Amino acid sequence: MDRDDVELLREEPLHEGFFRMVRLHLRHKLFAGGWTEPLDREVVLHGTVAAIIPYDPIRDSVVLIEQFRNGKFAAGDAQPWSVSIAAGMIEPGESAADMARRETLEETGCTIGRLEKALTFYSSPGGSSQHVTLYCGQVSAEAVGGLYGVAEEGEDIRAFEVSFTEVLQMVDGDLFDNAISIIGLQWLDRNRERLRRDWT
Amino acid sequence: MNHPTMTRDDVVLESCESLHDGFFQMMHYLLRHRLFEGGWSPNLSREIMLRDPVAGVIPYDPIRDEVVLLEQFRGGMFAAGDKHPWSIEIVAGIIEKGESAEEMARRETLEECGCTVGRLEKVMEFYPSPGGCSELVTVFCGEVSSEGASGVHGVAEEGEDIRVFSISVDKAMAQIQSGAINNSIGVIGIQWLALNRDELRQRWT
Repeated sequence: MDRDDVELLREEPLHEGFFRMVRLHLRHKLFAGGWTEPLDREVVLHGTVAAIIPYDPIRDSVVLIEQFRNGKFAAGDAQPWSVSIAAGMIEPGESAADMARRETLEETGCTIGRLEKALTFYSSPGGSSQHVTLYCGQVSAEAVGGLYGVAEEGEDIRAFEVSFTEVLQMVDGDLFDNAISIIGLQWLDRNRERLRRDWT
Repeated sequence: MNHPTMTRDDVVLESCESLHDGFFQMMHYLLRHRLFEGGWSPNLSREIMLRDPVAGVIPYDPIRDEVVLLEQFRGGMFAAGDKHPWSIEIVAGIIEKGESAEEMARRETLEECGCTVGRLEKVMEFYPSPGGCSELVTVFCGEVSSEGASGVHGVAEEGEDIRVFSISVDKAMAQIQSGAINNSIGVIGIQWLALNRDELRQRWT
């Protein structure tokens, strides 16, 4: 089934601020044939995100960042700072690839060489339109370390280098708790040998 | 130093107000937190969507080396303008009050795909979008028989219309690479299965 199998009856605005939230009144075709009754679904309208696995194929290491995350705090998490790969919202008129290069520089101080698109995915497609384009970017991690982020946007980011062996231990030890990082590092685990061959 | 050192005590919630309270809740928080170099941030104004915790299940048949998958309409994909707003997923649902994640995992697997779960192992916990949403997902791997896992399931009164099918783990991985499976719970669950299934098959068969 595709978009033509959905009839949007009405879009009801619920909130307009940093995020925009609407209630969609719609019906769609059923697998067994026929149509659903009118359904209402609340959805947060969210921009597109680009995420980058900053990988140094020579040192076989990954650059990670740590920052405060509101959603973890709101969930009652005892540890509302999160370790992750680089990520940010794509601004209007900017390509996902340009954004990936800009955000990696802003958040980690690393300049990206080769850039490969890994996967795209929705973070939580039941209630949010947020869509993530995930890249792997070639970096030199040799000089990584220190504090980054745009202070005017309230960003306070610590960047550091971790060997790939240690990253895998961190994945097994449940140290990563966000979808972008887990998906990115699982992808790197599957593609790392090829990248080391092609990128060195 | 790879492990976070700051805790909840390093955050001060100045005020919070509800912006919308419906199926989901949208909140406005005014807060400040400690900075890495010492001192405190200014008060930060942040919108946060409050959501209940979710349990996800990878329904895996270790004998046939198959995973049971579901297809259903997703409002977020439709709102994003996706040409194909039906999503291919593993089992997932909201944990109800008074119910453990394990109980929910077994109940939801039966409801959504008609499969009874044998062994059940916790795989990991993650936040799909911790920058702006409190949703926390606990992922399990559940032992099922994929034989006969097919047909249309779901609770019609809740508007659920779910198509069930089973495919090999290799085919599911190919669907991740092609973008046919493109939701965080499904990608994380199936990539985990691809990396761990040899060890799992040794233990479960």
